[in-house]
Amino acid sequence: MKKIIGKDSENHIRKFFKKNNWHPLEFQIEAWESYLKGESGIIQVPTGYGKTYAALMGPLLKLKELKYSKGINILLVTPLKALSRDLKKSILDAIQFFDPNITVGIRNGDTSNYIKKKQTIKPPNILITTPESLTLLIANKESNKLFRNLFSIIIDEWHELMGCKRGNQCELALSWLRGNNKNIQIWGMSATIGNIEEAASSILGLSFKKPKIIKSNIVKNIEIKSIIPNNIGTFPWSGHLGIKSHKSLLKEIDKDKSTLIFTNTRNQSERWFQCLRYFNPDMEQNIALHHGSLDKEARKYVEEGVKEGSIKWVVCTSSLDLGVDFQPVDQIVQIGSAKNIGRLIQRAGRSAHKPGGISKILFMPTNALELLEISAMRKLINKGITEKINIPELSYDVLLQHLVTLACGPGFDPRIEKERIKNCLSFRNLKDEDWQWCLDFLEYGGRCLKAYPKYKKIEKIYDSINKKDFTYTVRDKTLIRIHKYNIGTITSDKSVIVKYIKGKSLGSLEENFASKLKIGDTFFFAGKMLEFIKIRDMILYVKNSSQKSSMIPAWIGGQMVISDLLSKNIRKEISLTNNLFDYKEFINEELKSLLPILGKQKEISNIPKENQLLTEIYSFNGFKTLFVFPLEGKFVNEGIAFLWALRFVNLNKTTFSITANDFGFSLTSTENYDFSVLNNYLSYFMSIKNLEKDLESAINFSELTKNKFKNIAQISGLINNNNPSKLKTSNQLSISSNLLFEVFNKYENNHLLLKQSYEEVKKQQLEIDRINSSLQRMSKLDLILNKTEYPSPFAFPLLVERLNNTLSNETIEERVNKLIKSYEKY
Amino acid sequence: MKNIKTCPSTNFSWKGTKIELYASQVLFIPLTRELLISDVHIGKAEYFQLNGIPLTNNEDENNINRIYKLINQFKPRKLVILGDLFHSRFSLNKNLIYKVERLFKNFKNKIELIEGNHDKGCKINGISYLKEKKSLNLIFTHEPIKKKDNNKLNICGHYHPKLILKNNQDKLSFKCFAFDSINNNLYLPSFGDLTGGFLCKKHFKKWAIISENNIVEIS
Repeated sequence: MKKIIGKDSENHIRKFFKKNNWHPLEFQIEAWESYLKGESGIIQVPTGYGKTYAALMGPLLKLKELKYSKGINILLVTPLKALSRDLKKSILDAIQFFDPNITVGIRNGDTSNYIKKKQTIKPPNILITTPESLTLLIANKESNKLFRNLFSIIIDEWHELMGCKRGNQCELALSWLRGNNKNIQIWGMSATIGNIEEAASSILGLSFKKPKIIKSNIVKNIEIKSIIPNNIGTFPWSGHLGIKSHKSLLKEIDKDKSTLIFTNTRNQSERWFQCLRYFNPDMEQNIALHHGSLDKEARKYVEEGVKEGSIKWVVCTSSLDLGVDFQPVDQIVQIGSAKNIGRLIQRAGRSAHKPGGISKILFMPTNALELLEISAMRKLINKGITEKINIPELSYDVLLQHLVTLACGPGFDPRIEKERIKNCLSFRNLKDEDWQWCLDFLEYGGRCLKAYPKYKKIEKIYDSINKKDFTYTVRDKTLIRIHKYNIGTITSDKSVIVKYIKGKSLGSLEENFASKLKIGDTFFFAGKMLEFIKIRDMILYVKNSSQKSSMIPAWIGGQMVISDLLSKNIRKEISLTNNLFDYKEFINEELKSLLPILGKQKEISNIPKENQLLTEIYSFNGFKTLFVFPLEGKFVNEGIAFLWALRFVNLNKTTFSITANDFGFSLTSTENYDFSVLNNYLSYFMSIKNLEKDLESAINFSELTKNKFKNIAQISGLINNNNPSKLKTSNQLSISSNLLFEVFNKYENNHLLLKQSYEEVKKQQLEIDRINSSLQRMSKLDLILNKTEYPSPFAFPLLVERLNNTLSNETIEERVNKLIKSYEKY
Repeated sequence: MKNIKTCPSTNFSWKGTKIELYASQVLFIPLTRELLISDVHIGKAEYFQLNGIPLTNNEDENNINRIYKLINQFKPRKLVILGDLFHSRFSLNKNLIYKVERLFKNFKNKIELIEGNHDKGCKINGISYLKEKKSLNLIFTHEPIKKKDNNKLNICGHYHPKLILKNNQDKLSFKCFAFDSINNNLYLPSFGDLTGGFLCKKHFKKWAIISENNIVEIS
């Protein structure tokens, strides 16, 4: 590449820093020098140390030197809409110095149609956008023109995207942009993760040799303090909250200090907000709520309030994990285990942004055993170990969506596109036949089926000169509109907008919750007590209510699961606690507070040592339950649960209900099932022979695949939850994913999307590789099989959790029989 | 424990009129030899295909074959379809029209269609479209009649009733017949294979269709 920028110009950057009285950090200098040499790569620095300027200085300088050419020149992709405004502000500051004529625009779900249109006619030099809005831009017929002069892409907070399908979507979009313009320089930014090389390769493509990896030597010290309730007897075992112990929390946090209180779910954040405000009436104006389902104006108000200092405490979810350049806050509270070291570090990082400063985080457990997690986490953090982020592979649903996006936009030549896509890390193992299947699926509706006379989606348009060449496009305007409405990989139930009858919008709820409301019902949402008035056209009208209600909506969201790394260390921690009773002085606060509970565990059953596998059998009210504690994290535990359930029913026919959490799993049967067969057939249960086959048949018996298929059907465009409102026929197009699942199963069992559902259950949900290694680990352990008279402290949380899954090899008739005997009607 | 026997049909009686409910998703009135089905939604797959969603059409063959079989089995005086024989006028093609017309031709004067909301604009030769039909102390309609007549039972479709059986061990869902004793409506399950369903209200009496030859009363 031609070198356009010399040392002289680089001084311009230094001048900019000097003018602001900043001293460029080492990694920042390294980043722009590397950029100016024409390199691409990734910058790994903790949040809050000026990553943005590190990545931006080079491209800005280039833009200034090149003078602006038409179209978008620099693209900034960020995972959260909320980050855009602050990014724009920092860029505007820099532009004032570099060249005030440079234009900056934001384009995301909150951007008005008017602005969007203006942007397409006269694109800004720098565009800040999200993966979804970027994909929407590509689906524009003019997208080739828009990106013609793109020379630089910056991906912010890549660690947030790479582990999910949004990351896949991003990879595919990048592959297209790279393909069109070989000279684009791409830089990613990431927090500290265990596999930064893979992260770099996923944004740059496999063919990119030697991505530059810039790490800073900034060390962040983190201090975790657990809030331990005075009376361990009142310690919440499980269930959502631990709100009971709010007093202990209130004692620890300062009313005058700015505070972020992180919860793991939106439902939890509503509850804690309600609780904190109730017990601090004098702070009513200073406590706020922030989560992803609230109206954007409300969120904006809170963000500004924190900046100005008028709002002191914010109860929030991962919606505030990233960015939103608050001045660093004074206090951070984490309610419930963060389950993942990376996340905890990131949240802790929202306080004390100064290099070398100490980030403090207060941890409020929601069940006793979480204290073990924190104790293990602290040890890992002190050693500086962080998790890897697994990149989901071969997501055909995302691929299908991407291909339709291209076909809606400029069209695509399959020969060219295939190479680009196979160059993506997550699609490197794409087989030719599966690629062909995807094309057939989109063009004809499927291969093994008769041609559908009326089916249409993408179609070939032949080149007028080179008669053999063609591109795939979508012609039908309605299809394009439906597709654009449904771009994205974040699936959710249909949502309903909540509005005051007088007009102000509060946010959105899932339809499922809304459909259960009766007129006059009151519920708590957006921090307010609301009365349900009516529902029209997917808008739920409410008014304020003074009645009290304990009804709080729940949202289906990504589940947080303990990471591999963490679970290994929790096992150690638990084993260790066996010795605690003798050396009480030497242990940390968390473990000390757990002693009464651990003592109870020891009394009723055992505390498993590292070389033991603990199982318990407990009978109650005609139910018989087996508890097993592999301590492998929820999903792996669930996988082993399915496997064992299948192996049990192979020995003795029955129906099990299965529950799993991070510590273990339970199998419950209504009959007097003899679980002691475990002793005699132990090697059968631990066997990794036929693991894949057994797991597959276990999955077959369960609903897991159907649940995965629901998301896949949405992403691949089989089910369109969002329809342009003008489309009157939309309800004629509604079909349940279960029905689709059955139809595909019946007529085309090689269906790639069915295959993907199986693979996702096996690989991503139950993590077959981890099941394999944990069976091998477990087979070396000594089995302890305790019959307990009371549920042990370890077993209790599993016992109170709701029904999760069922595995049965009985006939429908037999099951109906039992159901009728003891059923609840719905 | 009392076991449920496999039972292909069950009886329901309305002020002296005997009505039989079958696991094959049909309702039969022995006195008049009328056979009732509802909500077949022929052409649903095509409608999806038109909108870029590849669903197979095999189910329509199935649906029509099932109707043939039932007519031969029951030898009714009339087959009354309680509406939504078709899914949409946009998805009717020659092939489908041919199959349906042949069905009606083969059983000339035997089949009657009460027009449902989905049937609008689906004009087919040889079919007489009715708004509603009275028979004995029964009224057949597509959508439930809202005005209650104490003496008459309204037999209708439209609703696609479904129920969930569940305890803290297990959960299964089935199509069903449903009786609303407050408004005197008897709902038929949707006949079409590609049709979904909606959960019934609590106070309804229900008959779950467990399999092709097993129907179970749930109350």
